[in-house]
Amino acid sequence: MTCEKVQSELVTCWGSTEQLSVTVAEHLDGCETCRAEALMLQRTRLLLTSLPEEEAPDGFTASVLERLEQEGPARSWLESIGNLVIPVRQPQWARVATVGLVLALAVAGGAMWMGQSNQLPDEAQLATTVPVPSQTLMENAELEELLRRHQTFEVTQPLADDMGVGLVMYTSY
Amino acid sequence: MAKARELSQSDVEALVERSKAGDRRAFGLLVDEYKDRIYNYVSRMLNDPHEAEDVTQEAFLRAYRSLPRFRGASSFHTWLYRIASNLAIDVVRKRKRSEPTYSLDEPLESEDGEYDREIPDSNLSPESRTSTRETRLAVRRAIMDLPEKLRDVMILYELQGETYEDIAEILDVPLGTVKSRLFNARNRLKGSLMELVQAGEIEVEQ
Repeated sequence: MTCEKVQSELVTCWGSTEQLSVTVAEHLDGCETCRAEALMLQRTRLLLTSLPEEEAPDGFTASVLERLEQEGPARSWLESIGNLVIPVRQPQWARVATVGLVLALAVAGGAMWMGQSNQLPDEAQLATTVPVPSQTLMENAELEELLRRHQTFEVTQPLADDMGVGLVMYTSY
Repeated sequence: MAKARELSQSDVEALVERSKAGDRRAFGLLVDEYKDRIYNYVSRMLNDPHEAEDVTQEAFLRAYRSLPRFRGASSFHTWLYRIASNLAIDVVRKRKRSEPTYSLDEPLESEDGEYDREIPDSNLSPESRTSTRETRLAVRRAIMDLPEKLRDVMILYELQGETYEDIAEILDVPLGTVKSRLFNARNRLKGSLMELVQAGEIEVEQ
């Protein structure tokens, strides 16, 4: 076994000779360089673990809770949706503003569609905007349902994991 | 090693659920449970107690705000570590960006003309060479000299006692990457610390 391979194993087990295979142990018996390497690794580990634990300052929990208190009471529904849409790194106002903007666009879009619903849409419009049923006049119930679906937010699973960015699909029909 | 956990897994899960519902007292218990571990980790990453306190606080605040997104796919503690790790790395990168670079040989310019730079001697005084305090400072410096990706893994594994699997989850890297980073970190740390030991600047307490 080469010194290089032995030294690599020594790093993996932090210089501890207890977990070494027989071949490595035999190599160490006859190799002064590798024995010195094992000793250096053991010493490095000792130095590293000699660092004392550091504790959070007194009153840490109280100041976290105080800061939460300053941020206001429970989350508003708008902020809750905002948390799902916008990465948490963004400030609260940005999350709320974005959700507000999306909702405003949804309402405006719905209003515009209602205003134009008596006109026959062209094919390009059909491909990119809200598809309109062939009848120009719809039953009230149908219209309500379409508007309801038009403004529905579909909150899906986060993109990657719990730390990922929440994804909101805006469904348009 | 990091402080042993006092709350059971089911206690933590129950507290997380209550915190999600807006119960701040429950969240306070979670902060109490994890504050030392997270602070210890951040403090080792940044080597600055004031910044460490700010970052640790921010980590808990962000965790609280993000609780609605926490679905328990990972454990609460790895999730918390991950938030803290991202924040700590951000600080490290900001520091790097804001550090001015200049040549040590280049004289400083002032209104009174040019003068040579005076660089403080980092060599330890003979009196303090073997003191525990100086040894610890040297070890901290050696950790800080590691690139942040190696430092992160080194601290999480060696000082915080996290498992390879948890570290992979915290840092969002494959298990093999954790192992190779740890291998490189150990090698580098050995190199820098053993130089100091051989120069007699620090001592290893057996």
